[in-house]
Amino acid sequence: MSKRDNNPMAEIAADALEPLFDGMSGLYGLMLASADGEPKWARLRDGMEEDRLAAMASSLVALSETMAKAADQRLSEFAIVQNSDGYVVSLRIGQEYLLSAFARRDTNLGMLLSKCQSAADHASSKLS
Amino acid sequence: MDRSYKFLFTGPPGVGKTTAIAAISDIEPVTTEMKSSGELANIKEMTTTALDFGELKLQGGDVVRLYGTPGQRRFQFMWELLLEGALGVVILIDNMREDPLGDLDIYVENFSGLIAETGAVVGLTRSDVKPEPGIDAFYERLQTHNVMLPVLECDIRRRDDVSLLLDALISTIEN
Repeated sequence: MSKRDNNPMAEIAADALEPLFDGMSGLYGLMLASADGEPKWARLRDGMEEDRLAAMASSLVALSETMAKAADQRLSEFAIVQNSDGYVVSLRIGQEYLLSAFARRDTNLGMLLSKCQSAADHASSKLS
Repeated sequence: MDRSYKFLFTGPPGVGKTTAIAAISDIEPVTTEMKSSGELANIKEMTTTALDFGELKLQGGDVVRLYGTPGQRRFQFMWELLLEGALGVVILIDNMREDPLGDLDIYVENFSGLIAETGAVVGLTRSDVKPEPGIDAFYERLQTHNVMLPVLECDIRRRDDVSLLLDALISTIEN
């Protein structure tokens, strides 16, 4: 039995996260964290702090969902930070995990969201 | 013109910051909770990861804005964001935790700037269930940080107790 057979995180990384990271040229960071901000897996550019970013992703998603609720909106899909240098995208994987992607500005946002959602769906099926 | 004042509630995970703000807020409190993981999941299902927010309306129209910080140290960036403009901080310590005096050290050190500039008060919870360390031990520990703050035993589920903490904090700041 291989190591990944009894480690869903290794399987998710090999089957969904690493192919996503390697397959999008504008993507320079990808991270899976617990919903309350503990890093579980990451591929990040040098200098990006995994612990800090995992906690920030948790704050970002929690505050985004609270803000949506205050505006009579429900079922958040993505928290998207678009800035002068690129995109930060965070989304839930069920109730217990978050996926965050960091991409350059020349990345196609629609493609990024679609691929992140696919990876999150794959991860969700393995973690449930 | 009505004035507003900003106070923070901080302390370790599970101490009851969200509960304290909910107990005293005149509006429905804003919460940002996510599912807990690790050891914390044994204590509570959800944990604050961004902030809590509530408001207390004073006679005369002034408003006290209450912000709760996330408890875990990895959210220190939120502590720094929430500090801006704050007039004082309520440090909640749970005496049932493994090292309540060590918890006090963490929050006194991290909020030392605000404590030196304005003021703080320590709310000691569940000391009725676990009396040791006693209040004197907390005062002694505060002396090692060269600060003198009120330490009050409280049940943060009770509005009167939270109100007492805020009154003590305001008195500290006025002095």
